Amino acid sequence: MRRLLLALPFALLPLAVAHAHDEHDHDHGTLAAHEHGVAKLNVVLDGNTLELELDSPAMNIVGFEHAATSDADKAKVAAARKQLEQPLALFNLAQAAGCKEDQQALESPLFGDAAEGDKHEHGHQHADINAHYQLACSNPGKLTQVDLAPLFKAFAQTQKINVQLIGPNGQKGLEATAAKAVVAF
Amino acid sequence: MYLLRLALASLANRRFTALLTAFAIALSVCLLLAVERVRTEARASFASTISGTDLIVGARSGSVNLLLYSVFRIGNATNNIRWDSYQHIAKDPRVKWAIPISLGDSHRGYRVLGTTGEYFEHYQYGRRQHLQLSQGRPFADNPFDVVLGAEVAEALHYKLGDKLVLAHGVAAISLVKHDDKPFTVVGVLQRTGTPVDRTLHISLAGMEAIHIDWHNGVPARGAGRISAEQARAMDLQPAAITAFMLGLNNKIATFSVQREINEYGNEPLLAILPGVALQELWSLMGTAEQALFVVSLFVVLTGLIGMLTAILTSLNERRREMAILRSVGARPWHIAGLLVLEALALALAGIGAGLGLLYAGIALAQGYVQANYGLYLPLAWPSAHEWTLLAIILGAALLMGSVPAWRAYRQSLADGLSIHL
Repeated sequence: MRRLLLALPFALLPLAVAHAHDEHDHDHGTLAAHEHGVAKLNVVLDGNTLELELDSPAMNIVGFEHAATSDADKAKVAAARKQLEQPLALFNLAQAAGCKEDQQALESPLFGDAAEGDKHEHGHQHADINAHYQLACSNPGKLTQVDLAPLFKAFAQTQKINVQLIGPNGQKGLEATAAKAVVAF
Repeated sequence: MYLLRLALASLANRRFTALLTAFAIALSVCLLLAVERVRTEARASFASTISGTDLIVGARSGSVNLLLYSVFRIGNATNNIRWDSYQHIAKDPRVKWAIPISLGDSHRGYRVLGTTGEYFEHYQYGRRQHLQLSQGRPFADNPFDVVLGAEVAEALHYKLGDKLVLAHGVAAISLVKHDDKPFTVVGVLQRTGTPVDRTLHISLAGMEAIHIDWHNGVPARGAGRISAEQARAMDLQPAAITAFMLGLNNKIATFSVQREINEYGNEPLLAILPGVALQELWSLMGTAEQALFVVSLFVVLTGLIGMLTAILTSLNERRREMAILRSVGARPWHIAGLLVLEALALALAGIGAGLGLLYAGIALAQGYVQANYGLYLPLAWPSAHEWTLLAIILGAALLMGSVPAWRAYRQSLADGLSIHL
């Protein structure tokens, strides 16, 4: 309950979330929730395809949510980006499953996505980082779990990841923390 | 080995008390394992109340709320959703099938669900089982056909061809009835052990027809009334539905479709993953589940303490037995070992009998429980978790057996043969 109450002010603030692709994004559009320390991860495995979608407040990943202007901030963003570009290092997948990266897309106002540029004039804003990976696994039968420990280690400000999982055994929802970082299909 | 033989022989000498003690342990072991099995199975069967559905879409509220009214028929929707929105999403190329559902009416406390023929074709529960009709057929073109869930048909004694009148609203006793437009039972579904059993299914056209002459939430009077025959000829396309279920061609698309629906601009919609919402709901009930487990643990503890009492009270009576054993050359640790072995034998017999009771119970009740509660209790070997529990019980029994053993060890040293009875 306390956590929900803590999240309330964030949910009520006007948010600039990374929905550049949203065609219905007008002023009275709905606002996504934004809770520092908590990220969302969607995992879906169907056939040979594994998709991972991480949606996290930028705070968890780089430690701030404004556009990077100082050299130190720019360096932080670049370093985070570099880590996010290596999904196989962030998500520990069984070697035997033979998963290889197919596609990836990183999206965030902090990465200078043009569509988000105009929203930065509103003063205090929240920003998310959205990473979408598609992997091809040659032996998906061996893929029984995803270990998020490297992710928690890389982005230490992430306390909790709400995971939605779709696998051969159907849909699952769970909470992963640094101490309980393994999610099973 | 001779110690074990002695222990067993001594037990056989007090067979009535020993049997009762073993029986108490057996009952508590059986209860613990039964609670464990029902708990695991209840969770599994709860999770399979609905299966094969990728997304459930309703008016924007909470995921548990949407799940409760769309699947469990508990509570009500905060809002309806437009037929246009449903059409728009159902036409998406990624969508394989869509089942619209419309709720709000009832019949003698059972909820009425307005839907389409897709429901009978695509709705799945349990291990991806489809709905089966035990009698009759699904509803067809006639808007006044109704297909009953198994429990409704059984509890209210309906058979094919019976006429029934639906009530407006979902209260058990309703003041407003749709008595001008009775429905005919055309089919009865097989028992599923899910809320489907407690539902009456009508077509969306039927749902629309019974409300067609209503204005401002009350039925029209006099000339404004539209008879069932007139309604049949009218356009019975609903303007709104309560929710809909989606099956997708490709599971990979689930999250992107979910996001698009949640960001749908024309109407605030909420798409949930039923599997995730089910788990969320179960976690709310997890406390009760834990409580049940704790209670059965205490029952096992009671059984074991009963054993401890039985052995301890027998100690005094058996001073002579101990003394004789000592006189023929048994050492004090022999006496202690004897009592530990006795406890072990009692606990083992109790666990064995408990397992026997459990399997006999499962074999007897399996069919009934499956049919009435939708719980499938497998007649399988104990799981690793259950073996662990049994090992813990045995360990606890040994630990408890060491208490009288320690006393006997001390006493047999002090008493020796100079015992005065």
